[in-house]
Amino acid sequence: MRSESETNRAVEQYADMVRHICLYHLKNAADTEDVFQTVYLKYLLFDGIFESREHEKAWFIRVAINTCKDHIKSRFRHSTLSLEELAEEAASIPPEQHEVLDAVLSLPARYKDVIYLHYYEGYSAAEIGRILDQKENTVYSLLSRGRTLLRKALGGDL
Amino acid sequence: MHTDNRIRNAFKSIEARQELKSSTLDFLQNARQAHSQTLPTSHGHQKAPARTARRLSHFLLHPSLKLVLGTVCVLFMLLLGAGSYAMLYVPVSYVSIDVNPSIELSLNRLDRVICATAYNADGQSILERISVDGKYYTDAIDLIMDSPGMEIYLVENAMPTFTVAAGSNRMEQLLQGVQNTHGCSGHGGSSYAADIHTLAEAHAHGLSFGKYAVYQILSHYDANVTTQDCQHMSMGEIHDRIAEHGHDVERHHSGESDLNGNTGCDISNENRPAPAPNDNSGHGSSHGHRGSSH
Repeated sequence: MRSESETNRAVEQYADMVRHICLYHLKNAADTEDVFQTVYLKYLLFDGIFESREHEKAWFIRVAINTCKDHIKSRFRHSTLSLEELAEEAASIPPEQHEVLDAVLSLPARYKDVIYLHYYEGYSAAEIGRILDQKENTVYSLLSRGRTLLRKALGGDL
Repeated sequence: MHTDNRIRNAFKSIEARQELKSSTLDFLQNARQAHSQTLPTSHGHQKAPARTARRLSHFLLHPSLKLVLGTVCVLFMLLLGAGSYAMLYVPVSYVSIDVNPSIELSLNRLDRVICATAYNADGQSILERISVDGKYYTDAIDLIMDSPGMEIYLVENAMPTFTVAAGSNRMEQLLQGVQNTHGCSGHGGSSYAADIHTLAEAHAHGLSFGKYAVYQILSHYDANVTTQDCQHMSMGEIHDRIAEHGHDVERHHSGESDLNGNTGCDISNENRPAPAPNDNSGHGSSHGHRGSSH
């Protein structure tokens, strides 16, 4: 079991990222809190050794995505969301960001992870492939199609 | 603005709220407590909230333990399914109803009819008009005996015969049930016990096991009679043929004694060698009925 200082550091370090992943996968604040806490509970109980901070970050990404998917499966939730459905969340987001976020949230689930990891976290296709256990070419395809969908949603303004 | 920047800016505006971080840190603290309570040296710890302990217990299960628990659950469900199937759909006892129509009822462990089989055209004609599947065997007997079309066979000297084949622990109770039905007692019927192992032999000859048992008695006195002959004879006619030889089938007659004054007799033929299926003569297969005068 990990020490209190380890978990405190991990919460500070990865909270925003885990929150983002929860945001584009889940429907409301209660689900987000459940999954958010579950991700950190898994971290608390994880006995493995991280070779580096990058390794640890990739672990958090993988676990957060999988936990969100498990949560969706267990509750039969829809995978496509809109900010309107996330009323509680939307209140804390500046209005000028709504359009882009709405476009990302309305993407099919398989595109969201690669779009977020590439455009926000700055991972390359090869790195995303390793984190998500997918082929690099598949990631390129998902990125390309996801970008096309985003462009359509934002009226070519991307 | 570039894609990267627009998406980055959009997500940058979202942060994990301080209260979410605080509640998570509290949750992790509770999880630590709950975890330490599961250890032998945990005395004196404050009790962790039940919800946290429940969520923690889910993750504390070792994968191999989860696999074992899953396997046990699957095996339990399979056993439950197999048990239910055996209880409901595996025949364990049989009642043969023979007048002129020959009908066999296969019963499950709950003494309910799984299937009714006709062994001649008259029996088929009766079963086409009624359904006895799922009915308790006594109700099924009454339904068959009171069914439209049956009355033409229930004439004087019709000798309705009810033969039961079951395990020794069920035999007495089933016979008693048969004797108490209106279908048996109300039509002057007789009830007999037969060896359950003769079923296949009877069916190989195209007869219900009730009629086959009476055929075996007749063949004991009349070497020329065949199963084909019996297929076309009513029970009354077979009984008459036996009576011509100065004998009578022992019976569990409904509250009466048989002609020889015997009661409680059966025509079971346990412990005797089974004849070959194509042996229509009946020779060499003593019917084993007790108490009849030969």
